[in-house]
Amino acid sequence: MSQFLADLFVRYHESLVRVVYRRTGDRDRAEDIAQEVFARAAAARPRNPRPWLFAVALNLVREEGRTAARRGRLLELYRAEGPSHTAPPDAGLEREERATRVRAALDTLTGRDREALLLKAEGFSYDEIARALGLARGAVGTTLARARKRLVEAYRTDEERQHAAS
Amino acid sequence: MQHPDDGTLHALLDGEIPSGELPAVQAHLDRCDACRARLDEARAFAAEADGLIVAIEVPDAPGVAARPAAPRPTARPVRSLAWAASLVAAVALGWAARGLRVAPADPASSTVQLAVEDAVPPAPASRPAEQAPPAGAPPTGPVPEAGATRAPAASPAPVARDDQAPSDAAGGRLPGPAGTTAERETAATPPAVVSTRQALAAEPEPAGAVPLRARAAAVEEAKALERREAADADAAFGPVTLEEAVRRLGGTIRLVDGLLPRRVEAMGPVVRVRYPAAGGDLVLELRREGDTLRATLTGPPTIGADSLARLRERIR
Repeated sequence: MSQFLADLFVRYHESLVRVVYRRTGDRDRAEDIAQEVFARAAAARPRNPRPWLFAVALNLVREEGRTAARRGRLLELYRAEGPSHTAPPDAGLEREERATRVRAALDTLTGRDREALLLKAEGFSYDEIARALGLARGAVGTTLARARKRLVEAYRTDEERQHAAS
Repeated sequence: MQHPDDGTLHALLDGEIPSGELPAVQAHLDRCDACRARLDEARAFAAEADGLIVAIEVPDAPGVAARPAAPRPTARPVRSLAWAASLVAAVALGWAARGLRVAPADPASSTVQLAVEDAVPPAPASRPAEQAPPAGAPPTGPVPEAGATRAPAASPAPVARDDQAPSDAAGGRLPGPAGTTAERETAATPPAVVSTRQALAAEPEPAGAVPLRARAAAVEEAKALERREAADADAAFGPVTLEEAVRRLGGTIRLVDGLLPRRVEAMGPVVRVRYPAAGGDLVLELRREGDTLRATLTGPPTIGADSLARLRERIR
């Protein structure tokens, strides 16, 4: 395969899938989106691939969210072919539960705040986050400050509610 | 200076304050108790938030979605097979070279789809032939347009790719009309791969890896790769195009759904599809035995038996 693509794939595939998975909670979709992104990269050959790849991936997530209903009808036909769903092992349940609650907390953030956090967790620099999200570089710190605070507060609130309920 | 805002404090924690501004911020913090307290608070938020994000791990099995209720409108098996085929075929067609001149507005999907069609082996009723056609039609349809137009301005597509020319497979291989030569050459250049892998491992990747550990990992990885390449050479498995692999297997092939092959190779009637994985290659070995196609998937020790079993379920 093309060295350019192979190189991109080896470097960024895992990270890309992780970000999209954290964003959507759906691993298969994350893999699909990652593949779509690499197909586009093959054509566009971005000079600075990392912010480019993630920006395109996050755009696709947003776009998919908007067209999900339409596509859902169209693609329902193919679902029978999908891999069988297996239950997570017991040991993973607690971790899974926590992940679900973190994602719920993430969902309370605005799209931009959430994406800035996810990219930061992938080791993106402020410059790269700015480029990927179309932000001014100077706004990244403020965005992250707000996003981190809101995420933690949303998660804690949820935790307190859980404790109160149990 | 005035009290730094929260953004500045977080930038400080992230090591992202421009060096010109750092002394003033530092000086202020030295004499302002309130801001030092704010910095501590910011540090706690940053650490906790980053820890929360990391808690969302990608499950190693497909379909273990944290939101089981969410609809999953995808056509994975179809699309990913086509994708794998297209990638291998792309080089086989000298498409990498052509890509240099592709107009930026040309959506990726059409180019790739073209490659898929060409890659479909002529063998009657072969598996890829059955699966490829729907791939380009409904599943990928709606997405490409929107995303392509929304791609960020960062995409410098129209620019000539001078910067990549030396290492690019396209460089001197333009003339090859049939793909076989290009494919062979690409796959038969271990040194290029080694350097890529080394560069990759040497560059500390996101997940907060310690540079030292990354460097050790780089050395390990390079060694492992050398061993692997040496083993490849010993075994006399030569790289082949996907089309050739299909031919050798009597007009069909199996692939691990959702994975992108690193290399397809064959020795006589036996075909191996290699997939990159942490710690070594996943190897899918295929051979025809009478009417059945026998597929064996093996992985490096870093891949647990569970994961391997799940991957086996995805062979189709």
